[in-house]
Amino acid sequence: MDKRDLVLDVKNLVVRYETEDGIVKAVNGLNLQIERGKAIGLVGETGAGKTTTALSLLRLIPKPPGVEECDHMFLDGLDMLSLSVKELEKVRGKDISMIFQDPMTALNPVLTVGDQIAESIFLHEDVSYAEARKRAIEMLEVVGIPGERANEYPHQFSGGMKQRVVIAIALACHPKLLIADEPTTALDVTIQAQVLDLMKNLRKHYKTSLIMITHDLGIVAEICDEVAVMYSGNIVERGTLEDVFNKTKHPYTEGLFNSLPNINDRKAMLTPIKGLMPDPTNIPVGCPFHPRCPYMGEDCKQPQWERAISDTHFVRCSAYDRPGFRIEREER
Amino acid sequence: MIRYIVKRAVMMIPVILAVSFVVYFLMDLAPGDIVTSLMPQDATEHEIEMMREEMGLNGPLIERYFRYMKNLLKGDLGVSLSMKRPVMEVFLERFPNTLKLAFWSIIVAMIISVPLGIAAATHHRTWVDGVSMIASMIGVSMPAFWLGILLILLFSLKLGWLPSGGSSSFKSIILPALTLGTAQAGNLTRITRSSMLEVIRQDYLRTARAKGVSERHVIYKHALKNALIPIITILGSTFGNALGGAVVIETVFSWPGVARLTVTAINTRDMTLATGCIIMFTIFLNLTLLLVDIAYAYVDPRIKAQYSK
Repeated sequence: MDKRDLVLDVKNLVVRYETEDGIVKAVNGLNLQIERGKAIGLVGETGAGKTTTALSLLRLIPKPPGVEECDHMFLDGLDMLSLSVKELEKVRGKDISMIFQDPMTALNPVLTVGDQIAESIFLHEDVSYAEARKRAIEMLEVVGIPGERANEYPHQFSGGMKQRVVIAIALACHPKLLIADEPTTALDVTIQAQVLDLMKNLRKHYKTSLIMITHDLGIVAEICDEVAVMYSGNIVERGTLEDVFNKTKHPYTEGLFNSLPNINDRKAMLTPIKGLMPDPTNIPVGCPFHPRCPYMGEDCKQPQWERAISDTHFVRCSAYDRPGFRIEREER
Repeated sequence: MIRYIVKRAVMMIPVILAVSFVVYFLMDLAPGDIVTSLMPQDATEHEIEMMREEMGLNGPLIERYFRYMKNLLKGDLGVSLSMKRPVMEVFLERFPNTLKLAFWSIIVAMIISVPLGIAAATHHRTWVDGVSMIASMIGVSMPAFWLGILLILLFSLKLGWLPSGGSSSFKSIILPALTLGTAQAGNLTRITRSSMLEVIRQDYLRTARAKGVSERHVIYKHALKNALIPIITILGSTFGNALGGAVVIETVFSWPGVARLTVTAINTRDMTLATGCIIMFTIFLNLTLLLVDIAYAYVDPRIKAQYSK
């Protein structure tokens, strides 16, 4: 039994969408644990299954076409898989909540922002609607929007302010776990910095655990304690920031770092990872990365499992069974 | 908002002028002459001329048109040639009946189509969707007079619960409203369904679900209000149809409304009555569309914001 104080413990999560065009395998046997108060970055290319993982944690995968399988999923000790629809509605927004990628479409255009925040408070806390409205206005001020704007509609706000409203909705009931799905992707760079700062401060203030979904390694370094790198519906490497950034083990993670521009050598060519992410309806056998991997060997076509490099660092790569195997990045 | 309403109302004037001119002109062109049919067979040419003069049917078209419009501003639409009564009086006597029929038929149509359309959209591509789409196809394609006759056969003749025609009691509105409402429900169901399908895919419903809002509230509070705009548009034109297109229903149920009055007026070449009825119709239809536009603003704050600029 794990002795750590876990806010989230997911084992062997599988999500697939069974459509007419074939079975889309979005998440394939993912394990994820988050300690209380910690922030983990979920990194990966578009289509790696990050958002599907997040929706699955909220138990919001549309069924059909979605099919979920999971050994266990505990949210702060609560068995999420055994909850009824009614019980899940009580957990969503209260214990676990989510910030969505595109603030432009995440707010209901015909309801005032005050009402949209108050709704969450009214649903989960034992207060009158007037009281919920009052707390919604306070929440608006917490995210840096004047309270008197509570009666305005989303179209009267800019993109960055809309994202602040979405953050206010997500944090209104002080959730134990917050999932932020690329919260800054749709915003321009200066606003990104403001929103990230806000999230960082609020997270500390409310002691919320965080899953930060992003494809921006810079954001991860800025905000997170741990990193999990996702590829084709699974976590291929996870560990502390130090583990993954400085002691990179997985060839895919190495490829991600190599494809970043080098600030000291601006003329250097970028080194992209060859090929494309596999089609989720047709994932290669064994390690899904092997067709693109420079270290590919026969063992890569066998089923893969996680190897512990240290107490905190795990990698899903069979090449480490080869005697003396190292990736290039490590030798530098 | 008020400024918008005023602006929108002023825009109605050219529409009404254009329609009234076309109607007046066409009625003038129409073959058949009320004067000859009113006069005895052996009336002399001179007597017929005298009658024309008396009824104000002499002079060039434009001159007569302007005289007509001037009177219209005073609320005078002339005297019905066949009924020998002021057109306005006849119209206002019948119009409440038409309005009543249109109103109740819309209520019937909404009661049927809004829940059905929502059910079809939330159960997209299941048997619920299939059944409601087939039902709405039947509603759209079934001729209203036929449905009316079937309903009369069942409820009036066989069961004897409801009167088959007239407008003597509240009961007599039930069958015509049901018939007209069912005919409109088909279209309205399809619009509700497609509008809901559009909204159901939106991100903000996912936000609502992630907040812990129950599915029922997600649909009826968060989705429906967004889906209402196309529904209101169709409701407006449906109401227009119910005002004007109810001729068949009014005939089947001998409902004393304006639509039937207009058709009778045309058939008897009572041009003053026909012209007056059509122009009044145009005015009321324009008012309905104005109401629809105002309703938009109440549903969608983005439209309201545009108006207040």
